[in-house]
Amino acid sequence: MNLVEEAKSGNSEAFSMLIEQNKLKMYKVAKSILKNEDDVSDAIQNTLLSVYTNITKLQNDQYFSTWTIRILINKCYDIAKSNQKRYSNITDIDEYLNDNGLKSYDKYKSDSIVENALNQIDEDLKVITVLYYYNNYSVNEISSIVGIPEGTVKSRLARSRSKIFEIINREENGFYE
Amino acid sequence: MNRLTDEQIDMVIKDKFRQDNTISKQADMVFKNFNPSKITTEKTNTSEPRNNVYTVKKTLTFYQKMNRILSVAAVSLSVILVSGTAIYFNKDGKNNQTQIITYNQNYLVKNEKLNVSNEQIMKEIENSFIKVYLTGKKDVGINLTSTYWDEFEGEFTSTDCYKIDNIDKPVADIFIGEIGGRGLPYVFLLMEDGTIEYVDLHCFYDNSFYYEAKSLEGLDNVVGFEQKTRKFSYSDTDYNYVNAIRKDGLRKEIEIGVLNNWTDTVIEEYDKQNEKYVKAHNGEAIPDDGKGDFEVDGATYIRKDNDLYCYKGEFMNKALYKVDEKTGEMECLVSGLVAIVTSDEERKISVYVNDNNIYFVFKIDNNVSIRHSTDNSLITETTTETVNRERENNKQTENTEQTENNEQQVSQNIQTGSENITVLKGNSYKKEILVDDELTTKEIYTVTFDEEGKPTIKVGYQNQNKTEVYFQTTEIYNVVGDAAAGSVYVDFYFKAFTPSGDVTGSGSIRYSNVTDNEQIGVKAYLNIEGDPKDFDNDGDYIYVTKIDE
Repeated sequence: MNLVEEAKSGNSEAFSMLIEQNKLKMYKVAKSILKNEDDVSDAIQNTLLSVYTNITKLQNDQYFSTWTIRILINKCYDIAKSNQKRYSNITDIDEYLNDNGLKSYDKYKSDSIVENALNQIDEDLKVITVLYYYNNYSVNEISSIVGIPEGTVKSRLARSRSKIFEIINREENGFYE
Repeated sequence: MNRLTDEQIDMVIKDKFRQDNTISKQADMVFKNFNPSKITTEKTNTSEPRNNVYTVKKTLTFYQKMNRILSVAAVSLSVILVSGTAIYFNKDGKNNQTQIITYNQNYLVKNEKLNVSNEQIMKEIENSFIKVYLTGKKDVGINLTSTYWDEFEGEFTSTDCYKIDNIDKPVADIFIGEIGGRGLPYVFLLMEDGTIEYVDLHCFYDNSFYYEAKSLEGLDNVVGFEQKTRKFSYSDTDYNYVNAIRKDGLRKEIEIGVLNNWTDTVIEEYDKQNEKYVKAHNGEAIPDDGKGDFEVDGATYIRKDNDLYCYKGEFMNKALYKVDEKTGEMECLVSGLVAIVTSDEERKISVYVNDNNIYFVFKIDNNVSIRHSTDNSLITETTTETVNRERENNKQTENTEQTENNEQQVSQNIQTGSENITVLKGNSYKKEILVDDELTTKEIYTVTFDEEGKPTIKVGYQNQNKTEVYFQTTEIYNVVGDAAAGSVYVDFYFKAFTPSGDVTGSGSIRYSNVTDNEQIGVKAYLNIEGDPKDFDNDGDYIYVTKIDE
């Protein structure tokens, strides 16, 4: 039996190994949508539970990875939208936090060229960029995962490509022209 | 310096992304601590449903939400709703336990309700996710089904129908169309003036729903829609798309969010490909329109020298056929080939036909090789691994010379270069090394085929006499095969220790007629380049075996 089959039959260790194989991919995708580490952790946690409870519904075992990433993206968007709603009535978030003795979310900052580059592109490009350049999915796989037409994926990748390359170039002082 | 191509830019970017392989400690802990056996469930009190809401029972996990912002009123240890959003607490203060909490989530619907039973229904359509009603010239209602909510782990509790906003022109027809692989539909409205409006239902991410009709720009004289599906590899769902149909029968695949144009001929070309395929199987002659390769239903057809070939198959397992254009019959030339990745995003295999020989170009990871289609013998091969790969021995170039004691120094050279596909022309030679004419420990590979026909390899070894030469497989990095054909290919890296020095490199073996659980011996074939006159190129091989440790 392969790992997915074993996980389907209830083998927790097999499930853990599957997740370990996809851990980095999941983290990068979640991070591209949700900057805050708490939210990323929540999304991952929610995804793990969803994957674990629904793994028997997966029909083709070899597509475990794309299936998991698709669930993760849903969970991330749920949280992202939930955050927008939550803050809508708070005009000065920092003041509110200070008044209530609460810890604020970490400001997003990174020494990573990649993360900085992702931070400078439009929101609708980020997850596609990570799926293509980091997870190495093809255009049609990305279309399937994200649920948008292939043409849209291609045009967004084209926009992302030029922007990301420009940023990398700039950060590395003329790595390539 | 010449301007880089998109492919080259992609390689640069991918390389940068690959270097960024860190994960935060916090996220890492989530993965490490996920323990299904520790999941507990707890139900909470729920609020009363309100008017114009979808009330959905949802479940959510709760783990280490230490830094989440708390509302002023949040002192209770139960789940509360604040402005339609739930905020959660860690009930017992322990962060090493996963809790599942169920609660009612209300989604505000900003549309007016539509009481379908009181309306005259002109047309009613549905799919698994939604029902749509046409009840008047400008009146269209929508009703979400239980399946819609199940997709997002909500238990369906609402049956209300809501009226779509912003329909300003008379509607001639309604259509539910799926785009993409997820099956989430759009509602398309064919207006009486031949234009299209649509309702985007991807609004479940929001805490509120608002159904409104938006104009799809660029298409006119539309008379209908059709739902189509195309298959592609690497996905567990078909790719769905919707065609708009013009009065004269022209089709155009609808793209949401962009300006559509009747002059894009993608669909037309696809239909022509389908026509070619049908003709081939119906025995009609296929016209050569000079366009070269075309793809239909996951199979790629190529025309070379007046013959038609087809290769198809899933990842890691393709087969090449010669197609009889008159009868449509296919003769399998070779199967069990390696899957391909080329520099473009389509993942097409490259095929070269020359003097009745068919060659395939493969790129696996960063190795490019050309193999003959009939016996898969390796014609030439190069690796395009970069210096960042952690295999010091694969990047060294060692030169050795043959000594009178039959000890040999072996020359090996693994090429590096850019990551565009480049094929190095050259000859590969192999040389046999026998030490003391005695065999040492042999490595044995046990091949097992799974139910999908994919082989896996386990390495064992058999002890024999000791010699000063031994070899060790450092990694098997590629295994492909075809259970039906009984063939298996193994690519591996190895290290060999000779009296003259260490030798490392990559090797590959091919076996045919392998059965399940059969043990097969291994010989390391070291591909080397050197002065041709030093080597005999009629099939000698290096045979090094493992010493008993």
